[in-house]
Amino acid sequence: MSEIRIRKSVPGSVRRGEVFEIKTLIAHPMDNGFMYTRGGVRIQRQIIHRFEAVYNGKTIFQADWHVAVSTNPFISFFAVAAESGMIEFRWYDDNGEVYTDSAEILVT
Amino acid sequence: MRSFARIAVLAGSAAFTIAALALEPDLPDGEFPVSGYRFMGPQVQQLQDDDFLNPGWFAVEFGAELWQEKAGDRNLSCQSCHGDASESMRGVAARYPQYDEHRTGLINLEGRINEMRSRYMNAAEYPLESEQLLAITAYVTHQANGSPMNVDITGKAAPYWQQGRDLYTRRQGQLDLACSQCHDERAGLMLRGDRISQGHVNGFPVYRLIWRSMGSRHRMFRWCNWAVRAEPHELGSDEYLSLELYLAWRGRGLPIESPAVRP
Amino acid sequence: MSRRRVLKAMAGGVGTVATLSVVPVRSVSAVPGIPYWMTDLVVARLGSTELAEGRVILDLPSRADTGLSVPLTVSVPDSPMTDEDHVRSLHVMTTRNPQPLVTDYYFTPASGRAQVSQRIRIARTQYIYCFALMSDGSRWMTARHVSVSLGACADEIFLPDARDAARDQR
Repeated sequence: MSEIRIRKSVPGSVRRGEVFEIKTLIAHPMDNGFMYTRGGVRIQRQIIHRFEAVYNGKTIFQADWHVAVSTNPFISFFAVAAESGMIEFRWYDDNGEVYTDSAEILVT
Repeated sequence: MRSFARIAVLAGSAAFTIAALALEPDLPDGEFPVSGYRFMGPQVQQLQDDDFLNPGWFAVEFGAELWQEKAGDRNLSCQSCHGDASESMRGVAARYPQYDEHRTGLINLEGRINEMRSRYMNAAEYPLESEQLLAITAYVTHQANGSPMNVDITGKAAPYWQQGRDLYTRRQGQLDLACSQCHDERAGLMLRGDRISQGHVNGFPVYRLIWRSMGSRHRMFRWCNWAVRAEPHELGSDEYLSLELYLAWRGRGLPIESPAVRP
Repeated sequence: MSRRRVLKAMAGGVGTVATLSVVPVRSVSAVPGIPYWMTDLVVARLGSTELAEGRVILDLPSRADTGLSVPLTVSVPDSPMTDEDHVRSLHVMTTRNPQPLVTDYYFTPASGRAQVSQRIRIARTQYIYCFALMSDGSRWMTARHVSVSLGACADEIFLPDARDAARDQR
């Protein structure tokens, strides 16, 4: 797949002050660097080593991932509904690329 | 001291056996056919059941894009002729593989998709096990979700069925094992950490955790052949098409389960 | 323990329990101590290895269906997650994976709840640790034992590297 596939789950609208769950899943092999091809060539480590959630410009949650995180990393975490706006997700790949996605949230 | 060690090991393994028995899931007794899903542990079952977690959906979604993607000289997509796949492809995957007059041989779903591309779209065939072919196959198979497998083994398909059955019951490889010795005679038992399934093909193409990707029925056959140290056949070979026909018939009535996840 | 004593104990039938209970056994805490080689990793994240047991909940199956995708949930349910009192970070580590680090989570009061779920790879039967650093500087920990059985036919599975095998030999 040429483009990275991302799945996310964020409630569309939440009451102010309410704590809500956010889930994301990104298609990534998370090559841990310990595996070999059938021909005996070591597959270089390439993982997503950092995940961030930025809510209206402010980082509210961050995770550093290591090689023990499964293929197609899934994460579920929480946030407090403050203001309507955007929640941005960022995944930092070992190869220097940053994958981003965002979700709109309506706070009532 | 050595005896003590031996006793300790014996006591330990006895305790382990008891623990293993206590944790044994509710497994079908004498029931046939039973999907591989029921031989998996709850943590892997959850991966398949949860639409958010199931990585097979990435392939189905990609397949849905390919369904609409125009290709070839005539600028056609699958959708140009077949329209809405949820209507036109409903239950179709449950009838493959089948005998094809044009080919004068068996054809499976992957083969049919590629045949359509070359014959009607004038487009390049997808390579076997390519991400595209697996995705479009998963998408079409998903339209048959819940349809009982029902292949035709009469007429010209009959000799292929016979060949497939021979392959399934013949001992092969350095381990000298036939498919049937595990999947018929020992289904439900443990093979180290794995619980042996009945070897049905109703979930394919599946997302397999150890592959970290989707894989076709034929990739699974090759993998099984390797596992018993036998020389695998080629993807798309007559041998594997016959085996696929036999297995689809053997699991007849079992609903298609797509996208499936297997350990 | 001598061989004779064990055999006697085995032959003792009902008496077995009583005989064996005489043997002094080191009491085993539910949470084992931090292995020496994990010290630097803990100090780098929490500033010290002086930790109290508790508050952190590490939710893992005691027996994993497959080591490739084990559901993990870590949380500190009793934290109010306010500006004054919140969980600053949670750190998950393994004892017998090829590399000990699994994940580091950094929270803010805007996280609302100190709870995260993921799927992780566990190479073999071992203890998994979780460490917490609170906004008041207090440090907490817990550990859980997870059994992993490898499959028989898996030739493409997550395998430990050579260094890990060498560590096992010692």
